[in-house]
Amino acid sequence: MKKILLVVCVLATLLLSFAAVFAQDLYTLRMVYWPGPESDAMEKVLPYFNETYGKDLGFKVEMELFGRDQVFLKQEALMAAQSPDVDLFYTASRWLGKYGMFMEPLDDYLADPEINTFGGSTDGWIKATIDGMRFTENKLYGVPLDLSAHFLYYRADLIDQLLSDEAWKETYRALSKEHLGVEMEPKDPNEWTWDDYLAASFFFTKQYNPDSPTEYGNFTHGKVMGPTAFLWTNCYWGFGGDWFDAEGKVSFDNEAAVKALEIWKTSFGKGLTPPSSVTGEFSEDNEALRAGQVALTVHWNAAYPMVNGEDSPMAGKYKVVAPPAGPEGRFAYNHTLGVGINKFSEHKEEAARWISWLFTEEFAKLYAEAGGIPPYTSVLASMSDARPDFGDMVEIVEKYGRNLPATAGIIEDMACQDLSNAWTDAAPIEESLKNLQKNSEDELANW
Amino acid sequence: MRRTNMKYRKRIGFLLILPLLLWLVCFALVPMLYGLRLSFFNARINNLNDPAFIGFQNYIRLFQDSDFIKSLLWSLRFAVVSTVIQMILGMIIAQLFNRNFPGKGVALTLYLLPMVISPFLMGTMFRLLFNEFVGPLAYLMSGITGTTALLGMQFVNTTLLSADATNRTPFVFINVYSALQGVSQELIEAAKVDGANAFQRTVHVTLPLISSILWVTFLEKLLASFLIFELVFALTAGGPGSMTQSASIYIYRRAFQRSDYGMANAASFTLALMLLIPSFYLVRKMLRNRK
Amino acid sequence: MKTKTRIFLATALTVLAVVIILIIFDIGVITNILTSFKSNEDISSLPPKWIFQPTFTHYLNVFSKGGYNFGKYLTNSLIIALISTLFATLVTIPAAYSIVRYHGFGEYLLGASMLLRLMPALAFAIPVFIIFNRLRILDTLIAIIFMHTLFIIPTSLLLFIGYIQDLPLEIEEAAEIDGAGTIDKLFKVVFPILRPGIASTAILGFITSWNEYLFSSILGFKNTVTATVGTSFFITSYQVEWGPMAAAITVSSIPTIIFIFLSQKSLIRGMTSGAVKG
Repeated sequence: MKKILLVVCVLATLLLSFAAVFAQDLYTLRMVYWPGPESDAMEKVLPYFNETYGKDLGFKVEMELFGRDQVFLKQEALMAAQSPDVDLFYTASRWLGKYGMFMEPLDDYLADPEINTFGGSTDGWIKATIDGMRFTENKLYGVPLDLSAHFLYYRADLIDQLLSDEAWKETYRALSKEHLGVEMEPKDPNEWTWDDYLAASFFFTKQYNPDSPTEYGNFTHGKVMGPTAFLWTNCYWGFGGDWFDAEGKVSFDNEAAVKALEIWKTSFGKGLTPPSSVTGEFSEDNEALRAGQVALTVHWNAAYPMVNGEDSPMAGKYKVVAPPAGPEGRFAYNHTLGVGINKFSEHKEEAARWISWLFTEEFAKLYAEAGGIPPYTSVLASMSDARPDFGDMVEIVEKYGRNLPATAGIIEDMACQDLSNAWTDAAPIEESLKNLQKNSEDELANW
Repeated sequence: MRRTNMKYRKRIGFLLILPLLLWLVCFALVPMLYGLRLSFFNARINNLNDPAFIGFQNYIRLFQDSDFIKSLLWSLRFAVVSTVIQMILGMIIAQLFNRNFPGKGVALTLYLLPMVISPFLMGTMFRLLFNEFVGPLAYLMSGITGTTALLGMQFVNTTLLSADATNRTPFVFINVYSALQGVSQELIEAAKVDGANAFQRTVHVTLPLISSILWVTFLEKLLASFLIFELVFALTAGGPGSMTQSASIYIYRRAFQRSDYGMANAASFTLALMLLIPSFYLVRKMLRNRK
Repeated sequence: MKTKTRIFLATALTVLAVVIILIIFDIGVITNILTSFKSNEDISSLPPKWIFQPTFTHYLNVFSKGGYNFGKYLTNSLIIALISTLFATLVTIPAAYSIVRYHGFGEYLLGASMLLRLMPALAFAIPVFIIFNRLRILDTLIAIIFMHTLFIIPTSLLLFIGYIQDLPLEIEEAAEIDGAGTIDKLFKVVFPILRPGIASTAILGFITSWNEYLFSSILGFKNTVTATVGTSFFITSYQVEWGPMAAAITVSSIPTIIFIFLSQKSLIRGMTSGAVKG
């Protein structure tokens, strides 16, 4: 019997200690973030705030790291449970349609000088990113913290040679005639249309051009996940389409989508992109670029330091421009990740004070120096010496930047699956698009 | 006297079971019933606290969804093929280990090594190891496959099968090996005296003795493989398109990427019902083995 | 002399076959360990490098990265795995004993818990989260322990039933004559005899809990991050940080490897009485 008592005592102590852990940290704002460069940067900024302003205001801020695959799952569960366990949610422009109703509008807090003691404001931030954080009734729901955009990465050394070497030019003409039906001249990537992109992809694929220094022309992301669909959206916009039409109705079953899908399908079907790219995403693309096996790719800005930075075997060989143009214009997808206040938080006022500091230039500067990419025009521009991609990004986003609306997050998963079925030829393009159109209409009817 | 004794025995028997019963009710039955209830509602994150009752709508939609049917078929095929492969490998390897050789202890531990790593994490690492350009495994395998594109359309299913095999054959192996260890040496010696060769001994003496354990292992493995999730999710996320979408991935995406909880729960329960008959059979078989 | 050569040859062949099998099955683990010692540049080299200048930066990174407390994650995992295994053992041994010795409706219970491990665990995820949130026990170790115990129960129950069936009744009867009640009998007679069986069952339970990912990740935020969940933090918003991830996997698999090595004999012996989840 003594032993049983002992076991019971030990268990009771353990239970109590768990309870104690749970009960502490009363005045700590809990902010959801996801692990990676963003949280590494925030980790460096937080102590500064906590030790200076936080101390004066009587609270501190902590990050809750939710892994990439769990961030939605957990946040959704918290939202559904109307839980006050975290005070600030991680969000992105395109998820507001899904999560906006669980978040607090920020406009009134920002306008209140009692709370906004730091003078944080939406001026100075890239306007498109602020607008991206607006949702119902044009209210602001989040502070944009990290800007992501799509670039066309290309091997500068190879393109230079293509533009000057007569023999290469001749091959380029012949290949474009053979595979695309028109004789095309090599051009500067900044002037490319999607056809030029395909022609260059053929040229840099060994299968079609044995002299090609790279094995494959481009790397096209194919993994079934929302972000893959966004990469394709650059092309879709270029052909005049959009996820939602002028009246806000979802729109995939159209001519523009067919044309844009043809481009992707050519890459996969003709072997212009590595065969395994059908399941590839960010990391796989990076490995292909770092291994020097592909010449072009439409890829995220965040890859820049990884493929072009010092520890890359191909350091300095890549240059970036906006993705190619279609007949209806040239677009570069971008979105911002950021944080907003949990509607069910019990410390909204503290959260609002913290948010108002996030809107200041002081924060943007600190955050950028720590490795974040805050869409604050002057900060990004001032850093373009250390991070050349920041300069490119400001230019590309301001000239060609385009967002997906707040409701896109609801259908991104189904979009990607059907698009992927189409470009891998698992189902005919028309059928996939009809399917997608119907599925997304059904889904959106619920929101 | 006898009657009270019976009653007392019953009560003690029940008391001893009570903790387990409570555990199962609290953490399995209650959540399951809650999930079952959700499956009759149009429950999404925006209305989870006040969902609309829609009867069997979710189940009807589910069976009209060709994706769901496709995912069931993929899971079934995957389960059968992977189980057959792993049973054969597990049996051969268990036979091999069922004799003495130097360094056996270390070898056993090394053989069980793959099962100490979470399939989700290993699956994620496999993305690098099978990478077309820099993946060491892809590089080694290219000798057999002729290409390093192991995650391309052509080889993705094979890659999943082999990754799963390295990860889970050890479980089959443990079952078979411990069953073999339980086979009495005298019987084998007797067969040897009768002049049976090694092959005959295996087929006529060992296999019949362990056949029921083999059958149970086979069924269990089959059901577990049918529900495969973590490895496939980490490696392909169900793509390209819906090519490698297992039933579990279908449910995961419904629930966590589209927040369609009603439908996800409907799919879970459909799956559970489908597995009920083989599971019951398996449980009865196991119980009979016990006696 | 001839037989000796034959035996030697047979052994040599066996060892050779075993080595080949080990290489095939462990190649994933081996390359993973190699990756953890490669610099980022070597990880991305084409063709892949087998010989390289080893570096410990990834291990340092895992243990010293700001805001990332791998030591604590390991401790969490250890506490969760140990207590879950303990709970499962405490709950299942009496139940198994009752099923074997008192029959009753225990067999249905065994059936039910067997069914449990054949159900898609995903189905529980949302309901469990919502219920635990109502109980205000999210982000506590005990929440994860509850669920992990549930996952360990089926296998443990099955194995313990096997062991208890093998126990000779005479010992218990002798204790009964000495006037021992059921509880006494259970703790003084059955538990001690079962010790080797408990060891092997506990190892399987430990592995189950240690590797569990989905529920650990859903039910915890900050205080309860386990090694598995912590390792998944290297899957960042875009890039998977291969080096640190490989290092974290390697570190977190060491405890289980040691366990298996120390106890494989009793593991195998214990397994003889029952089939285990694959």
